[in-house]
Amino acid sequence: MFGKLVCLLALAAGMLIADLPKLGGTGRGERLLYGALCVVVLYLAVIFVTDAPLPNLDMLFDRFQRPAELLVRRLNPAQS
Amino acid sequence: MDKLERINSVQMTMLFLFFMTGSSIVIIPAPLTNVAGNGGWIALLIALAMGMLLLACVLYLFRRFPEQSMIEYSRLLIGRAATALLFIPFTCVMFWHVAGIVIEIGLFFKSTMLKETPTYAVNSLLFATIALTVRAGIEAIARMVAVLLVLMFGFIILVCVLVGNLYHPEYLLPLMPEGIGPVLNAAYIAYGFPYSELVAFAMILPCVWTKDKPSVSKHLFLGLAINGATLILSIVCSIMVLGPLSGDLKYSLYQLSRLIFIQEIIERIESVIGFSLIVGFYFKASILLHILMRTVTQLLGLKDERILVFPVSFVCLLLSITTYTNEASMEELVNLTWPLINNLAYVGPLLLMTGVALFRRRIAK
Repeated sequence: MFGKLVCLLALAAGMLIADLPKLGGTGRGERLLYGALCVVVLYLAVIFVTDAPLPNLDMLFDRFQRPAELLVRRLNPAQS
Repeated sequence: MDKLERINSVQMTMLFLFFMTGSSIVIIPAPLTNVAGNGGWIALLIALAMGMLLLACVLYLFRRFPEQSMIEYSRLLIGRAATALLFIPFTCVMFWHVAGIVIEIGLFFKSTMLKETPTYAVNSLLFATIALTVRAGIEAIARMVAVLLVLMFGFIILVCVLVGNLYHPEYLLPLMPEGIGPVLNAAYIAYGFPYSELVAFAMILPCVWTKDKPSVSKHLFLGLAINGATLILSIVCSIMVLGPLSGDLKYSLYQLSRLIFIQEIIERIESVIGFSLIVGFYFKASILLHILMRTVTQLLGLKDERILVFPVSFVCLLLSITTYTNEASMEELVNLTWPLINNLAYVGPLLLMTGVALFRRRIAK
């Protein structure tokens, strides 16, 4: 967990040091999206550090597994 | 920034070739031979034909709207609301798509060269490099591409030549011992990865210089043919060397490079070849991240995409270390679900727009 935290903090610090001075000169839309992306980063970082089973894109993708299986079975009936 | 960034048709073709071949050359031979056996290369030909059809659709729309990206002409064809509705899933899938390429690199390193290194460390360094590359812009990427393309293709050919003494052409037969079903199944896999992904390229085609636009179609079809030939070469070579084992050993080209042994002079060169193959992953991820940046900014009507490169890359990095982290689940996704997701998120909007464009043209006549 410590290694993960150090890695994330180093990356976040690098990103903010590079972007914060320039952020003031951009439009309102860019600043809003930047903030929204930071919230997403924070959420995913919690999942990463704590290994919590919170909703993520893989859960959404897994919903397509069943229809995909049916499709593959139609193409290749021999597959069990 | 977008107004100034232009590349020529040959550079666009090289980017396209990297985009199509980059990661698939390492990954695709094993699942295809695993599912279809010796018919793996036939499956690839079927998928390539489907890819050609999709490219024809992309290029038809490009000829109709040469200065506009997919989102821009979608707004003209189907309106702003429908475009937003279509491109939200497109963007979400693309976020994971960038992450997915890096997951594959991480898994490749984990199972071949950097077995003790935590995946998040590998992925973080890769994403830092990819983000910096994308921040440099498409012109800089296009200038880098020629040397690295020669390096990657040079090593692919070198591996195929140096394992020549291990070829057993008799392994290529029988061709389809279990009928056409497994071949169609394998074609489904290859269609999902990499051929249906080429739709995303429609976002950056307007970057080509206006004077070069007439030659883009010819060059991209040539690029796709080279991609198909390279993938078939790697499948056939891995079958001829590894025989029935080719479907069970992942990263076929890397496995072939481990077998190179020439008079105790050239041996154990797999690390060099492994790193040259990684270049393909790196370029594909960089091109796709650039496409993602363009999609996000155009969808939301923003002007400055460079300021958003780092946070978008950070989201992709975190997706790469929180989703499909084990090899089995990733393999299942690529072989089963990914082609369907691609069809819904990428191919669906493209076909809809092509249909609407053709319909409108007929009405106008």
